[in-house]
Amino acid sequence: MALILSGSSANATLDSSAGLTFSDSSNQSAAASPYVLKNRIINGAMVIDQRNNGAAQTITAGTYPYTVDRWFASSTGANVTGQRVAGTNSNTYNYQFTGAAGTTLIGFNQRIESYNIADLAGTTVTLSANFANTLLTTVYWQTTYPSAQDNYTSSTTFASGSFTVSSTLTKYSTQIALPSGAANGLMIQIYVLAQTSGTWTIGNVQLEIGSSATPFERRLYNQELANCQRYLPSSGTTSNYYAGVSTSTTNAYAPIPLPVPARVAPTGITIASGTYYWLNGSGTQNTATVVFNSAGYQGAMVQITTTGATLGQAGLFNPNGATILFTGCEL
Amino acid sequence: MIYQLYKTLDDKNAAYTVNEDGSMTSFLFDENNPDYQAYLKWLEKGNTPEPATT
Repeated sequence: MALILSGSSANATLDSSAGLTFSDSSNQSAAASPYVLKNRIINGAMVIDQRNNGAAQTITAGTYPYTVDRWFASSTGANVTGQRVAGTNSNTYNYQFTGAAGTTLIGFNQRIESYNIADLAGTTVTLSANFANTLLTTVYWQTTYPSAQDNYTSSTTFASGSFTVSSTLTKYSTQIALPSGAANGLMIQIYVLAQTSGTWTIGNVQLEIGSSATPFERRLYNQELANCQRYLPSSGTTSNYYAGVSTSTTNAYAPIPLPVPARVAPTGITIASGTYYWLNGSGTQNTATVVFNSAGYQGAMVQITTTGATLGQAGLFNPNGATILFTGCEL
Repeated sequence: MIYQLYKTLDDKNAAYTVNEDGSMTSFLFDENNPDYQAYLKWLEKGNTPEPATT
Protein backbone atom coordinates (compact mmCIF):
# COMPACT_ATOMS: atom_id res chain seq x y z
CA MET A 1 0.00 0.00 0.00
CA ALA A 2 1.33 3.39 -0.91
CA LEU A 3 0.84 6.44 1.28
CA ILE A 4 0.13 9.53 -0.79
CA LEU A 5 0.06 13.00 0.70
CA SER A 6 -1.60 15.62 -1.48
CA GLY A 7 -3.16 19.04 -1.19
CA SER A 8 -1.75 22.51 -0.74
CA SER A 9 -3.58 23.94 2.23
CA ALA A 10 -1.84 22.19 5.11
CA ASN A 11 1.40 20.50 6.05
CA ALA A 12 1.49 16.80 6.82
CA THR A 13 2.44 16.27 10.45
CA LEU A 14 4.06 13.22 12.00
CA ASP A 15 2.82 13.40 15.57
CA SER A 16 4.29 10.22 16.99
CA SER A 17 7.64 10.19 18.75
CA ALA A 18 8.19 6.73 17.31
CA GLY A 19 9.14 8.29 14.01
CA LEU A 20 8.62 7.00 10.49
CA THR A 21 9.70 3.49 9.49
CA PHE A 22 10.58 2.79 5.85
CA SER A 23 10.30 -0.43 3.83
CA ASP A 24 13.92 -1.34 4.59
CA SER A 25 13.06 -1.19 8.32
CA SER A 26 15.06 1.97 8.81
CA ASN A 27 13.48 4.51 11.13
CA GLN A 28 13.72 8.27 11.03
CA SER A 29 12.64 9.93 14.23
CA ALA A 30 13.75 13.49 13.50
CA ALA A 31 13.70 15.72 10.49
CA ALA A 32 16.81 15.42 8.38
CA SER A 33 18.81 18.61 8.19
CA PRO A 34 18.90 20.14 4.72
CA TYR A 35 22.36 21.47 5.47
CA VAL A 36 25.63 19.87 4.46
CA LEU A 37 28.44 20.18 7.00
CA LYS A 38 25.85 21.41 9.46
CA ASN A 39 27.92 20.87 12.61
CA ARG A 40 29.94 23.98 13.39
CA ILE A 41 31.79 22.14 16.17
CA ILE A 42 35.03 20.57 14.95
CA ASN A 43 35.92 17.16 16.37
CA GLY A 44 32.62 16.88 18.23
CA ALA A 45 33.02 13.10 18.13
CA MET A 46 36.45 13.36 19.85
CA VAL A 47 38.04 11.25 17.13
CA ILE A 48 41.11 13.41 16.50
CA ASP A 49 43.60 13.44 19.36
CA GLN A 50 46.91 14.58 17.87
CA ARG A 51 48.39 15.73 21.18
CA ASN A 52 47.79 12.65 23.29
CA ASN A 53 46.60 9.88 20.96
CA GLY A 54 44.33 8.52 23.66
CA ALA A 55 46.75 8.86 26.56
CA ALA A 56 45.55 10.39 29.82
CA GLN A 57 46.34 14.05 30.42
CA THR A 58 46.56 15.91 33.69
CA ILE A 59 44.49 19.08 33.68
CA THR A 60 46.38 21.23 36.15
CA ALA A 61 44.17 23.53 38.19
CA GLY A 62 44.23 27.07 36.91
CA THR A 63 45.45 26.18 33.42
CA TYR A 64 43.63 25.84 30.09
CA PRO A 65 45.37 23.09 28.15
CA TYR A 66 44.17 21.76 24.83
CA THR A 67 43.11 18.13 24.98
CA VAL A 68 41.58 16.28 22.02
CA ASP A 69 41.84 18.53 18.99
CA ARG A 70 40.00 21.86 19.15
CA TRP A 71 38.89 21.32 22.77
CA PHE A 72 40.56 22.97 25.75
CA ALA A 73 39.87 22.08 29.33
CA SER A 74 40.05 23.84 32.64
CA SER A 75 39.82 22.89 36.27
CA THR A 76 39.71 24.73 39.54
CA GLY A 77 40.33 23.48 43.03
CA ALA A 78 42.39 20.43 42.09
CA ASN A 79 44.12 18.72 39.21
CA VAL A 80 41.90 16.31 37.31
CA THR A 81 42.51 13.80 34.54
CA GLY A 82 41.11 13.96 31.02
CA GLN A 83 41.30 11.27 28.37
CA ARG A 84 39.75 10.18 25.11
CA VAL A 85 38.01 6.91 25.86
CA ALA A 86 36.29 4.24 23.81
CA GLY A 87 32.67 4.92 23.00
CA THR A 88 29.77 2.59 22.60
CA ASN A 89 27.68 1.51 19.62
CA SER A 90 28.35 3.79 16.65
CA ASN A 91 30.34 6.26 18.73
CA THR A 92 33.99 5.31 18.46
CA TYR A 93 35.14 7.73 21.14
CA ASN A 94 34.04 10.00 23.95
CA TYR A 95 36.03 12.33 26.15
CA GLN A 96 36.07 11.65 29.85
CA PHE A 97 37.20 13.55 32.93
CA THR A 98 37.96 11.79 36.20
CA GLY A 99 37.26 13.97 39.20
CA ALA A 100 39.45 14.50 42.24
CA ALA A 101 38.93 15.63 45.82
CA GLY A 102 38.79 19.40 46.05
CA THR A 103 37.64 19.99 42.51
CA THR A 104 35.21 22.89 42.22
CA LEU A 105 34.88 23.11 38.43
CA ILE A 106 35.84 21.21 35.30
CA GLY A 107 35.32 22.93 31.95
CA PHE A 108 35.41 21.64 28.37
CA ASN A 109 35.44 24.38 25.80
CA GLN A 110 35.66 25.10 22.10
CA ARG A 111 36.10 28.40 20.29
CA ILE A 112 34.46 28.38 16.87
CA GLU A 113 36.32 30.52 14.35
CA SER A 114 34.38 33.53 13.08
CA TYR A 115 34.45 32.24 9.50
CA ASN A 116 32.50 29.19 10.66
CA ILE A 117 29.80 30.93 12.68
CA ALA A 118 29.29 34.43 11.23
CA ASP A 119 26.50 33.30 8.92
CA LEU A 120 24.48 32.09 11.94
CA ALA A 121 24.69 35.35 13.91
CA GLY A 122 21.18 36.63 14.55
CA THR A 123 19.61 33.18 14.21
CA THR A 124 18.60 30.39 16.57
CA VAL A 125 20.95 27.44 16.77
CA THR A 126 20.75 24.13 18.60
CA LEU A 127 23.49 22.74 20.80
CA SER A 128 23.33 19.00 21.40
CA ALA A 129 25.69 16.56 23.09
CA ASN A 130 25.88 13.24 24.86
CA PHE A 131 26.62 13.37 28.57
CA ALA A 132 26.96 10.93 31.44
CA ASN A 133 28.15 11.58 34.95
CA THR A 134 28.65 9.01 37.68
CA LEU A 135 28.61 11.59 40.49
CA LEU A 136 26.77 14.76 39.49
CA THR A 137 23.37 15.34 37.92
CA THR A 138 23.88 18.80 36.43
CA VAL A 139 25.97 19.80 33.42
CA TYR A 140 26.10 23.53 32.74
CA TRP A 141 26.73 25.36 29.49
CA GLN A 142 27.31 28.94 28.48
CA THR A 143 28.13 30.79 25.27
CA THR A 144 30.40 33.77 24.72
CA TYR A 145 31.43 35.90 21.77
CA PRO A 146 34.62 37.97 21.51
CA SER A 147 34.55 41.74 21.16
CA ALA A 148 36.90 41.58 18.19
CA GLN A 149 37.13 38.94 15.51
CA ASP A 150 38.52 35.73 17.03
CA ASN A 151 40.15 37.69 19.84
CA TYR A 152 38.90 36.78 23.31
CA THR A 153 40.85 39.42 25.20
CA SER A 154 37.44 41.01 25.77
CA SER A 155 34.25 38.99 25.44
CA THR A 156 30.53 38.86 26.25
CA THR A 157 28.70 35.89 27.74
CA PHE A 158 25.16 35.98 26.40
CA ALA A 159 23.43 32.68 27.15
CA SER A 160 23.63 29.90 29.70
CA GLY A 161 21.70 26.92 30.98
CA SER A 162 22.01 23.40 32.29
CA PHE A 163 21.10 19.81 31.62
CA THR A 164 19.97 17.28 34.20
CA VAL A 165 22.02 14.20 33.46
CA SER A 166 22.46 10.68 34.75
CA SER A 167 25.12 7.98 34.72
CA THR A 168 23.76 6.70 31.40
CA LEU A 169 25.15 8.39 28.30
CA THR A 170 22.21 10.31 26.86
CA LYS A 171 21.73 13.00 24.24
CA TYR A 172 20.66 16.45 25.47
CA SER A 173 19.95 19.62 23.52
CA THR A 174 19.08 23.27 23.92
CA GLN A 175 18.29 26.19 21.67
CA ILE A 176 20.42 29.33 21.68
CA ALA A 177 19.63 32.70 20.09
CA LEU A 178 22.89 33.99 18.67
CA PRO A 179 23.31 37.77 18.82
CA SER A 180 24.94 39.74 16.04
CA GLY A 181 28.18 39.77 18.02
CA ALA A 182 28.59 36.07 17.34
CA ALA A 183 29.84 37.09 13.91
CA ASN A 184 33.15 37.62 15.71
CA GLY A 185 33.28 33.99 16.79
CA LEU A 186 31.65 31.81 19.42
CA MET A 187 32.93 29.98 22.46
CA ILE A 188 30.96 27.02 23.77
CA GLN A 189 31.72 26.22 27.40
CA ILE A 190 30.44 23.06 29.03
CA TYR A 191 31.21 22.52 32.68
CA VAL A 192 30.42 20.71 35.90
CA LEU A 193 31.06 21.85 39.46
CA ALA A 194 32.25 19.71 42.36
CA GLN A 195 33.40 16.62 40.47
CA THR A 196 35.25 15.36 43.52
CA SER A 197 35.20 11.79 42.28
CA GLY A 198 33.64 9.72 39.54
CA THR A 199 33.67 10.48 35.83
CA TRP A 200 32.08 12.95 33.43
CA THR A 201 31.74 11.69 29.86
CA ILE A 202 31.09 13.86 26.81
CA GLY A 203 30.48 12.92 23.19
CA ASN A 204 28.91 13.90 19.87
CA VAL A 205 28.83 17.64 20.50
CA GLN A 206 26.99 19.46 17.73
CA LEU A 207 26.00 23.06 17.07
CA GLU A 208 23.69 23.52 14.10
CA ILE A 209 21.32 26.01 12.59
CA GLY A 210 17.64 25.86 13.60
CA SER A 211 15.62 24.68 16.56
CA SER A 212 15.88 20.95 16.05
CA ALA A 213 18.60 18.64 17.34
CA THR A 214 19.08 16.51 14.24
CA PRO A 215 21.20 13.35 14.21
CA PHE A 216 24.91 13.86 14.84
CA GLU A 217 26.83 14.59 11.67
CA ARG A 218 29.63 12.11 11.07
CA ARG A 219 32.44 13.48 8.97
CA LEU A 220 35.02 11.33 7.23
CA TYR A 221 38.20 10.91 9.25
CA ASN A 222 40.41 12.66 6.73
CA GLN A 223 38.01 15.59 6.55
CA GLU A 224 37.92 16.04 10.30
CA LEU A 225 41.70 15.64 10.57
CA ALA A 226 42.14 18.40 8.01
CA ASN A 227 39.65 20.56 9.91
CA CYS A 228 41.70 20.07 13.08
CA GLN A 229 45.06 20.64 11.43
CA ARG A 230 44.08 24.16 10.46
CA TYR A 231 44.53 24.81 14.21
CA LEU A 232 47.20 22.22 14.99
CA PRO A 233 49.28 21.30 11.94
CA SER A 234 51.22 18.07 12.28
CA SER A 235 53.95 16.34 10.34
CA GLY A 236 52.39 12.96 11.01
CA THR A 237 54.34 9.91 12.14
CA THR A 238 55.77 8.71 8.86
CA SER A 239 59.53 8.78 8.42
CA ASN A 240 59.66 11.62 5.94
CA TYR A 241 62.98 13.20 5.08
CA TYR A 242 63.10 16.96 4.73
CA ALA A 243 65.77 18.53 2.54
CA GLY A 244 67.74 21.35 4.09
CA VAL A 245 71.08 23.07 4.12
CA SER A 246 73.91 23.35 6.63
CA THR A 247 75.01 26.79 7.73
CA SER A 248 78.00 25.55 9.76
CA THR A 249 79.52 22.32 10.97
CA THR A 250 76.87 22.06 13.68
CA ASN A 251 73.81 23.89 12.35
CA ALA A 252 71.33 23.26 9.58
CA TYR A 253 67.87 24.39 8.56
CA ALA A 254 65.09 22.40 6.90
CA PRO A 255 61.66 23.48 5.65
CA ILE A 256 58.67 21.29 6.52
CA PRO A 257 55.39 21.70 4.60
CA LEU A 258 52.17 21.91 6.61
CA PRO A 259 49.44 19.40 5.71
CA VAL A 260 46.78 22.11 5.35
CA PRO A 261 47.07 25.90 5.46
CA ALA A 262 47.17 26.93 9.09
CA ARG A 263 44.74 29.47 10.55
CA VAL A 264 47.72 31.66 11.37
CA ALA A 265 51.42 31.05 10.95
CA PRO A 266 52.70 28.66 13.65
CA THR A 267 55.06 30.07 16.27
CA GLY A 268 56.46 26.89 17.79
CA ILE A 269 56.77 23.13 17.64
CA THR A 270 56.60 20.14 19.93
CA ILE A 271 58.46 17.13 18.62
CA ALA A 272 57.80 13.77 20.18
CA SER A 273 60.51 12.02 22.13
CA GLY A 274 62.92 10.16 19.90
CA THR A 275 66.23 10.14 18.11
CA TYR A 276 66.42 12.42 15.07
CA TYR A 277 69.09 12.65 12.43
CA TRP A 278 70.75 14.99 10.00
CA LEU A 279 71.96 13.12 6.91
CA ASN A 280 74.79 15.24 5.54
CA GLY A 281 75.79 15.56 1.91
CA SER A 282 78.50 12.96 2.37
CA GLY A 283 75.93 10.37 3.30
CA THR A 284 76.72 10.28 7.00
CA GLN A 285 73.77 10.34 9.39
CA ASN A 286 74.35 12.06 12.75
CA THR A 287 71.96 12.55 15.62
CA ALA A 288 70.32 15.94 15.84
CA THR A 289 68.16 18.14 17.99
CA VAL A 290 65.49 20.30 16.41
CA VAL A 291 63.76 23.53 17.40
CA PHE A 292 61.36 25.93 15.72
CA ASN A 293 62.79 28.67 13.55
CA SER A 294 60.05 30.32 11.49
CA ALA A 295 56.82 29.60 9.63
CA GLY A 296 54.23 30.83 7.21
CA TYR A 297 50.68 29.57 6.67
CA GLN A 298 51.75 26.62 4.58
CA GLY A 299 55.19 25.70 5.77
CA ALA A 300 57.67 25.99 8.61
CA MET A 301 61.42 25.83 8.97
CA VAL A 302 63.17 24.03 11.76
CA GLN A 303 66.62 24.68 13.16
CA ILE A 304 68.83 21.63 13.56
CA THR A 305 71.85 21.16 15.78
CA THR A 306 74.05 18.24 14.83
CA THR A 307 77.64 17.25 14.15
CA GLY A 308 79.59 16.59 11.01
CA ALA A 309 77.78 19.12 8.85
CA THR A 310 79.50 21.23 6.22
CA LEU A 311 78.78 24.88 5.55
CA GLY A 312 76.68 25.27 2.43
CA GLN A 313 76.13 21.57 1.96
CA ALA A 314 72.66 20.15 1.42
CA GLY A 315 71.36 17.42 3.67
CA LEU A 316 68.24 15.69 4.91
CA PHE A 317 66.53 16.04 8.26
CA ASN A 318 65.08 12.74 9.44
CA PRO A 319 62.66 13.01 12.40
CA ASN A 320 62.72 9.22 12.42
CA GLY A 321 58.96 8.86 12.75
CA ALA A 322 58.53 11.40 15.53
CA THR A 323 55.47 13.59 15.08
CA ILE A 324 56.03 17.34 14.96
CA LEU A 325 53.10 19.44 16.15
CA PHE A 326 53.14 23.08 15.07
CA THR A 327 51.77 25.32 17.79
CA GLY A 328 50.31 28.80 18.07
CA CYS A 329 47.44 28.38 15.60
CA GLU A 330 44.60 27.69 18.04
CA LEU A 331 42.07 30.37 18.85
CA MET B 1 61.96 21.81 33.85
CA ILE B 2 64.45 24.34 32.51
CA TYR B 3 64.21 26.61 29.49
CA GLN B 4 67.09 27.29 27.14
CA LEU B 5 66.99 30.55 25.21
CA TYR B 6 68.07 30.75 21.58
CA LYS B 7 67.89 33.04 18.56
CA THR B 8 66.25 32.16 15.27
CA LEU B 9 67.91 32.75 11.92
CA ASP B 10 66.24 36.15 11.67
CA ASP B 11 67.32 37.02 15.23
CA LYS B 12 64.00 36.51 16.99
CA ASN B 13 63.97 35.49 20.63
CA ALA B 14 62.91 31.92 21.29
CA ALA B 15 63.23 29.18 23.88
CA TYR B 16 63.01 25.44 24.15
CA THR B 17 62.49 22.93 26.91
CA VAL B 18 62.41 19.18 27.28
CA ASN B 19 59.07 17.98 28.66
CA GLU B 20 58.51 15.25 31.22
CA ASP B 21 57.62 12.73 28.50
CA GLY B 22 60.87 13.41 26.62
CA SER B 23 59.28 15.52 23.90
CA MET B 24 60.86 18.87 23.12
CA THR B 25 58.90 22.12 22.86
CA SER B 26 60.31 25.24 21.23
CA PHE B 27 58.60 28.53 20.55
CA LEU B 28 58.97 32.16 19.61
CA PHE B 29 58.32 34.84 22.18
CA ASP B 30 54.85 35.34 20.80
CA GLU B 31 52.04 36.18 23.21
CA ASN B 32 49.58 33.97 21.31
CA ASN B 33 51.69 30.85 21.69
CA PRO B 34 50.51 28.79 24.68
CA ASP B 35 54.00 27.49 25.37
CA TYR B 36 55.31 31.04 25.58
CA GLN B 37 52.49 31.82 28.03
CA ALA B 38 53.55 28.82 30.12
CA TYR B 39 57.14 30.08 29.97
CA LEU B 40 56.01 33.49 31.29
CA LYS B 41 54.27 31.79 34.23
CA TRP B 42 57.46 29.83 34.88
CA LEU B 43 59.38 33.12 34.98
CA GLU B 44 56.80 34.60 37.38
CA LYS B 45 57.72 31.87 39.85
CA GLY B 46 61.23 33.28 40.01
CA ASN B 47 62.90 30.85 37.62
CA THR B 48 65.70 31.87 35.28
CA PRO B 49 66.31 30.36 31.81
CA GLU B 50 69.65 29.28 30.44
CA PRO B 51 71.07 32.10 28.30
CA ALA B 52 71.38 31.80 24.56
CA THR B 53 74.71 30.59 23.27
CA THR B 54 76.40 32.58 20.56
